[in-house]
Amino acid sequence: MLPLNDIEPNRFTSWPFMTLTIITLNVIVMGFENLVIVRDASQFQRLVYEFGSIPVVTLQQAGSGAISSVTYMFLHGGIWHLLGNMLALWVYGRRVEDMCGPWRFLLFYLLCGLFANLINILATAQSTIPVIGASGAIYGVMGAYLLLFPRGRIRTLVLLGVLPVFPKIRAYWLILYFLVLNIPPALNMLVYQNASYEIAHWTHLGGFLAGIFVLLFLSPEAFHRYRNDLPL
Amino acid sequence: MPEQLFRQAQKLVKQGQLEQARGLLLRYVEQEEGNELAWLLLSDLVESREDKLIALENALTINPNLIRAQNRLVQLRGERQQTVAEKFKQGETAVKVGLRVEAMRLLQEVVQAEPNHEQAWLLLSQIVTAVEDKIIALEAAQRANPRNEQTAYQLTQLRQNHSSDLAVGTAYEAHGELQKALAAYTFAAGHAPVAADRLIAQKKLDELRQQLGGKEIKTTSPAMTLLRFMIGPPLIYTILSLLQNGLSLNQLPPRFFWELLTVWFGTVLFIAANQKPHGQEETLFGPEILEDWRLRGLLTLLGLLLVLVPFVFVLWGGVGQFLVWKTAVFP
Repeated sequence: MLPLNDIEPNRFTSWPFMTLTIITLNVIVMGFENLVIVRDASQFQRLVYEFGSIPVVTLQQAGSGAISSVTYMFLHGGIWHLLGNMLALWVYGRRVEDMCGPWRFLLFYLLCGLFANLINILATAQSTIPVIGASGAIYGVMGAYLLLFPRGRIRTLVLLGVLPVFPKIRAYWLILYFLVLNIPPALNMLVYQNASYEIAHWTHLGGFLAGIFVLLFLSPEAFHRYRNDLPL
Repeated sequence: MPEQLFRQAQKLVKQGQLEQARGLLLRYVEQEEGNELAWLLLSDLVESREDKLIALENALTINPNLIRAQNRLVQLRGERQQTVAEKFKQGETAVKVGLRVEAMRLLQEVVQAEPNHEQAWLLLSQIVTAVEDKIIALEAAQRANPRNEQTAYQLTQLRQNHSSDLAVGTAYEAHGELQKALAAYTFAAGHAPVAADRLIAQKKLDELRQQLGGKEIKTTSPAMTLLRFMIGPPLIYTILSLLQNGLSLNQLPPRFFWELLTVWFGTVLFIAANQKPHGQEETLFGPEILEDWRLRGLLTLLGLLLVLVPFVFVLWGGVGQFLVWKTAVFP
């Protein structure tokens, strides 16, 4: 199941400036990563260890928790990792940015990424595996979308065997589906301190929780509408 | 479905079919009352001034920042005031010559258009017959001018002689002051001396609550917006500092609290200097500051600087720590 596009229109602006800027920035960083890989593949692993977020390193104050908590959001493990994340940012980010305005949206995005990392470090304190990817921040954007537009319709690619279909699915089904997918492995990681998963489920859950902070960044108009249950 | 109605109405306006557009818009706002653009459009299409005023007031309730609507509202209210003065004069004459019904009609029109017209309320209190109606008229006059001692005296006398809250509630309801009717019924439901009156009051209370349900629009004041916005940057700064210091509160340097305060203060300054006029409530900085672009710019810049400097400190410290670690782990 792959969300492809939010079919509802924006209310205030037509140009999602900050969403596109963040996507561009991630693509540029991916380009840089590919350059590193082309030159020397072993250097890529070093790059991930240097700029990814490693819970043990942050807790022991060995590297810089502040720096890696920002840089990990812009690194990706491969082109599919990047594409998946950026597609999700494009689908959910546009209308959330429309509700906040570009600069407040940027602050919200960064806050989600930081909070997601904080939760991941608390939950997997013993882990030495670096976490990279924008998914923590994007789950925050998804959480915000669910809060603001639970009935928003998302054009989604669903594969029925080999047959692709493109239904419009309500946001609450889609986002809760992705959320629920993370819960069992996250609990497994927490109970058994099993950090061998390739996906940072606690980062996703932490990011999703941070979605509620969107209420601090909504534009006055959007907040007024949200508070009075007027259509956003 | 309602959205289609709105789009269709917009299309009809462009084609010049204003009658049909108005019909569609009226149907649309019945289903979807939260679209200020629909109210604005409707304010151009309805014919009577009162209807225009209602449409504009609704648009401004949803979005108090619509400058064009504010100006139009002021203009229409000005026009209405002129008519109100003429009607009041006619009403006064009608009272003097004893045309009670005509005077009632004129004065009611006056107070409907201008609810704070003290003289009209006082005249009404003289010509209405029911005691409850007298009380309501005098209360309205007192609201319009709380310093009028004679009104206050008359009101006290009337209230002492007449204490039926149920009747007062009914009169308020008939007059359209539903919140006051609600208060009167609530009191009567608990305190009316006769059990039957208490039951009737309770029934009326339930009906009125149902009628009022969900119609109240809560406005968001600039102070609340300021409170909301000033949490974000300090929160980001706190999380960043915690991550930099191994998520341990004990490891936070003493300067953290000063820096947090600086971020907070800078945020308040930045937001307050960039607040837009609300139309109904005061902003933190008055218009004399907000309309002076140089002063506003200076405050904005100062705010931004105060927010950014602590972040630079934390990240700068982080870069140093990172370089030491990098050299040790990846020599």
